Amino acid sequence: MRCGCDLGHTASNVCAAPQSVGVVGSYIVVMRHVDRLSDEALLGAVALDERDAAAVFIRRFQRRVYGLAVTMTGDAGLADDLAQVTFERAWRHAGTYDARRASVATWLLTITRNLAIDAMRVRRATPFDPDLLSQLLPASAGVDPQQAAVEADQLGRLGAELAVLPIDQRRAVLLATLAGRTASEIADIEGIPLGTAKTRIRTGLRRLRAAMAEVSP
Amino acid sequence: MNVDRPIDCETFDAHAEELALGQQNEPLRGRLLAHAALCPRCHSLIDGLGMVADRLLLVAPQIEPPADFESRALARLGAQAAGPTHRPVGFRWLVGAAAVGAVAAASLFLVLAPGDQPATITTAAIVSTAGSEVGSAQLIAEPVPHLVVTIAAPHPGPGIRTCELRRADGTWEEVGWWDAADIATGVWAVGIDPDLLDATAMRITSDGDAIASATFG
Ligand SMILES: [Zn+2]
Repeated sequence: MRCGCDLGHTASNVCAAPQSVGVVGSYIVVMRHVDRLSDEALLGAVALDERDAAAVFIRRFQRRVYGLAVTMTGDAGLADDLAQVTFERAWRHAGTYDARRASVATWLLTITRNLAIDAMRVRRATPFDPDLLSQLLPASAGVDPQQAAVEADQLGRLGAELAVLPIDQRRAVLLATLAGRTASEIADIEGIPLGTAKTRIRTGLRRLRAAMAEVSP
Repeated sequence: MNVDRPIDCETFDAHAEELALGQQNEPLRGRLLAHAALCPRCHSLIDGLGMVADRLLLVAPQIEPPADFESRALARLGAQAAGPTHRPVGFRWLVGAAAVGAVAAASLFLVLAPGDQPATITTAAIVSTAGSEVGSAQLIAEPVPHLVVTIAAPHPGPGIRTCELRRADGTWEEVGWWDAADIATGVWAVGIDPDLLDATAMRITSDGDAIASATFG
């Protein structure tokens, strides 16, 4: 097996090409078929400054990241900025990713979420369109099968439990998580007292937590 | 809130949702986390709520970003890599020459089988003999059995690092080695016999002395 670099190394999982990305004089793992890597392995490759891997990584996750940023901010321009910064942060902090705690997609989306929350502290987002909520539940079409399998696995019980939450709790939970709204903002959006909004978030989230604990203690 | 009064479980409970949603501000956030660090009950609560809040981000709609999104993101990473604000040295992953001469033809980036399944992954923390976590080890079944070793914190000093897996019957088997001069921190991967996917532990020795280990399962 040729290693895939221009120098024609053979039969090894590495080559010592001196032109290796960013690591002159050192070694680089040969990247082949990066588009078929698992999410975890792909992130590992991104951490190696492998440009092809970064491109595949961005392509694989950009719709998710941008989609969440748009959902949270309601502002395409701001969402674009946040999504760009998300990938930069992911690249910088790839070494801190811990597969035991979260999937790569979840890890990446928490970066987007935190950026969006910070941005919205400064610049209030456009009012949330409650109709968007009704579109949030079904899994998006057009996801590649491998990704869909991973998601089904990740969401699994959580998705099922979310679907059977009372609608007012589900709306509150999704407004709080996907739209990044605080309890008092949710009280405004839903026209309910603050205490009621807090209770709905609390009850909904804790019910989901209990459902997940049954599966993965 | 009185900053002198320590956080008790009841106070923590009242703020747990906001904390899990990333909406809690400092200094309260830090005080809540300090409580959770010492209180198993609240630690478990925030762990579970945080996992729910994070995973729910997967439900967000996926939206196609502007056409030039990928090229702009890549340009951004390129500029970062060239600039002085590169990743901290600890996460500068030099990559392994390690498996020159090592067993099979599998590498981390040989995860390429056509129609591949999501990889089966067993992950364990690599702990130094001094007791600190220095990286992670993953046993991956698909599409070919391989071991991925990620070293985030380098072991001081030169030497040949040898990597061994422990079979269920307690015997150790060497799966490969690398020279610390080539890899201090980084990702190293090697193909392994399928029956080593059941390995119970991994250890790394340096010129015969154990320096780190990981326990699977
Ligand atoms: Zn407590």
